[in-house]
Amino acid sequence: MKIARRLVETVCLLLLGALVLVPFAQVLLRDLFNAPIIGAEELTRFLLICVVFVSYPLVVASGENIVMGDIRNALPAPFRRFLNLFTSLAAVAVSGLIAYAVFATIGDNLNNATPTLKIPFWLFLGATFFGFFFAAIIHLVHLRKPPQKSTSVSL
Amino acid sequence: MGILLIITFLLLFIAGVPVVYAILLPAIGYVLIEGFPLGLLAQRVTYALDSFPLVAVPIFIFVGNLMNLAGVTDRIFRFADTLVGRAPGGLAQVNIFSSLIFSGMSGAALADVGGLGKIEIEAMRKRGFEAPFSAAVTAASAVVGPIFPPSIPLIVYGSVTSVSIVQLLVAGIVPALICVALLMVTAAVLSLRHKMPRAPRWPTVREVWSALVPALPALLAPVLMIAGMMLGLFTPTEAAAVTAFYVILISSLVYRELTWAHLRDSMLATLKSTSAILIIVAAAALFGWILAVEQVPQDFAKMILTLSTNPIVLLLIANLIFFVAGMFLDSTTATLLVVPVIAPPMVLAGVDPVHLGIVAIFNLMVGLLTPPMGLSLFLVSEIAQISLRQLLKALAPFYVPLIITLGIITFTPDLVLWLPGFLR
Repeated sequence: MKIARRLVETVCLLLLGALVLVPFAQVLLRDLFNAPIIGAEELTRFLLICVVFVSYPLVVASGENIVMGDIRNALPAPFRRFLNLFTSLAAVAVSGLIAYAVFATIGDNLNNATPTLKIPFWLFLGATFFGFFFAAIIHLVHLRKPPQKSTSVSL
Repeated sequence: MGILLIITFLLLFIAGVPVVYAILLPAIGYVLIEGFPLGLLAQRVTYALDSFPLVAVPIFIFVGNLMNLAGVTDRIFRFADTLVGRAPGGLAQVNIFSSLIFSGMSGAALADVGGLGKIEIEAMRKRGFEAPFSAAVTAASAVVGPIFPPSIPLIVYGSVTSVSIVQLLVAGIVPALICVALLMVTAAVLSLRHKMPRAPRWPTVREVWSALVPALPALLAPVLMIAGMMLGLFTPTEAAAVTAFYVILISSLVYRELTWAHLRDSMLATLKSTSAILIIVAAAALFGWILAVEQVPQDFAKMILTLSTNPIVLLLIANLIFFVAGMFLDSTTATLLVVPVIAPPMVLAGVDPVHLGIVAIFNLMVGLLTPPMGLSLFLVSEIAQISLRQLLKALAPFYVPLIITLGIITFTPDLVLWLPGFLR
């Protein structure tokens, strides 16, 4: 489990590094050398989709989904336990269903690609599948004890 | 059906279901009941993030995290302490002034509270300020961050409404400065009345200079970013990337405090925050599509325009709706779900969408300070180790400058639109 987590973290760090680097390189090359990167914006958008969905299992594993937990925390213990179980089941169902829907959609988009860089659509959809599939697995593993922090979490 | 969907979301949200699932659960139920293809789920959720302006969100979060870990925040605080520490209110003024500078780089209210807030509250307590007052100043001044560029909520607002993000960011400058000035006056009045501590004397030019030199590279970051955007040199996303590299450069070469571990930690924290926020953007795209299919925004527009077509009356109604939304929802969720419904009738009646953006986001940020779901309140009371009751009591006088700022923003669109006017 630790190795898998490290692997996902490393991939996400590389994706985020590229996400910051590409627009910066574009400014330098365009404004200083008059040689803009063709398709830089398209690549950046692709990287954003990958960053968000590939890192989503890390969010779930550390219980950092945005939530307003204060009313639930004020409830008596039996209600809290029920809501925690309901939350976990709902999270498994939602994540699993979206992963399934994305998997089915990948098959219909094998030949589609972005206009400039020809990045295949299955890569975008693959990132979404990865995020929701592993989110469902983590929610399932934590079914009895939700990883979600009990306090409110936001930015 | 649309109303049922909204009610289900609110019930799940209040029950403590994570926002992303509280949005997706009723949305998926709708798709299944109405017999829409499942591929719709995949496409709406994935391609909602196919947006270049949204790329600025992770980069600005990264900048904020990096500054907290690499010692930039400390230098900003020390400079502000030297400059305004003698003013009535002493460190309270420093707290407000530092928030403005820090927000010029991070763009998120709770990042300000969680990062700079810890340093500020601790320093104020050491100098003899009471913990509730220190916490109240920190919470109130953090409201400024999300209307002063860069601003993550304004970027999200711009991406939802297709309004120029550069204009939105620039429009926030004047209201943010007004809010800071009013907060400083309030802190001064309170501190004079309660005889709060302040620096024994005004700094000499030499002292100001010696505090300014180490802080100068950090202070130049927002200048670089705002000037670059206003001069049309780069887009907000590119400005974010340039600021990120600039902060990496100064914290590694000038301050020499950035380590690989700092970089890795700040990137990991950024990944989690980014994913947690933008996954809601993805989910809300599906929800928004369903509301549009159900004609909820159109019905709302008709209803609200029968009440009045006067822009001022409509802005008052918008203020009320955003304020209440901010009391219950976090800013990202409120922006994504409320703005697409409220904005169309307002714009139809002649309200400028840039002006509406500042009104909306400022309201939502004040909502961070109001019960029952004031996230800033919870975070600050936890940092300061005080009860919510103590914090609310100390915070009460600070609602006055915030409400006055809101009034100024609402009733003087020319003031808000003055700077964006140079870009039109």
